[in-house]
Amino acid sequence: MEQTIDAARPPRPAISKLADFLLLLLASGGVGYCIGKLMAGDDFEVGDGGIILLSAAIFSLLAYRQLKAFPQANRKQEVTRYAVQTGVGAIIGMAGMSAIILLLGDTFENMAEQALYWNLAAILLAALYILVALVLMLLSANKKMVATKPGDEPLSDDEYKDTRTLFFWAALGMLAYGLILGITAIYGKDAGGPNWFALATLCSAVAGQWTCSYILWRRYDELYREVTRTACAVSYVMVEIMIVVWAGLTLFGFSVRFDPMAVLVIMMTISLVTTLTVSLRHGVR
Amino acid sequence: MIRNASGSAQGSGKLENRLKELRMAAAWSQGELALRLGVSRQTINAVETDKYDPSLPLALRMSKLFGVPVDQIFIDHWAPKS
Repeated sequence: MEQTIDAARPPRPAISKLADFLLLLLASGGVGYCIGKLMAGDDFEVGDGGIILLSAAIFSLLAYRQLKAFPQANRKQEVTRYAVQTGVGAIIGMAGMSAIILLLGDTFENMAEQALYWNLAAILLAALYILVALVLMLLSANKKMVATKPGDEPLSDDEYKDTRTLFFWAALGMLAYGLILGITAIYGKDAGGPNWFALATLCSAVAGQWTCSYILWRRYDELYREVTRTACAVSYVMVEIMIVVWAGLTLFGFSVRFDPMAVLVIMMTISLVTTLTVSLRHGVR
Repeated sequence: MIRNASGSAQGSGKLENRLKELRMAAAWSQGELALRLGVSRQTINAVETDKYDPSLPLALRMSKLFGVPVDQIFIDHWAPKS
């Protein structure tokens, strides 16, 4: 039987924080989308009502959970932080949604017509990577947002500079991941022959991502390395299981078709979720 | 099974530590301690909140800095079965 020595509230599991973050991004995107429609003077349809209701429900749920979780001592500070994050999220959501529709509206329609669902999923995941990168870059501009402050301990200028640099390289790395997915999804849908431009762009994005990871590995201390090691190990095991299951199914005559785009999307999703979860579990946020 | 305030189970391999207590006694902020140990403040924060067990070299550096043996900074509840 379990006993509790201390009445203090146990920390929330990392997966719960991750779910909150993704829900916040989703709801902010919904709000941004509606603001974008209002600004463009477009008519609202039934589906848009659903988006508004869903966003409102998510915000209410998150606000309730956050208010319950905030310690009484610095509740005001935490509420301000949450409100600023939500506002920034809504602005980025609006800009991101508008940019995606403006740039890729026709591509989306073509992909939906040709049933290239993995390509669509890749573009959405790429957009998520790029949004997270932009959020990181924007948040790093605010001293209060860049690090977990214990109590009222002020953030020194050196530490602020160091954390901003960490955010910058992490954001660039995520941007490169977004480009890798986006380029593959957009140029890979109708490859009639070798596309050297797409290949060169993809290779540049991969090289950029590796460079960012290398710089982060060299520049930061053992906590960052531990997070990277654990995330890589967990991701590897999950991808290994996926490949073993696929190989087994194919060899035993179930003929499972595995699209290269599906491989990329699944691997990148595993990598994103694992990295965020491991980071949160180690108190890096 | 008995759990401590951070929810970690005693005897499950997770260490408890007195880092915060020692740091407070020395009147250092997390930032100052991080600077002295050559790591980031997030690392100090993660160790103090039981989210990360430091490497052996870092634990030894902590021991030298505070002048306290490692096993008095990090407390392991494991005991060999008799």
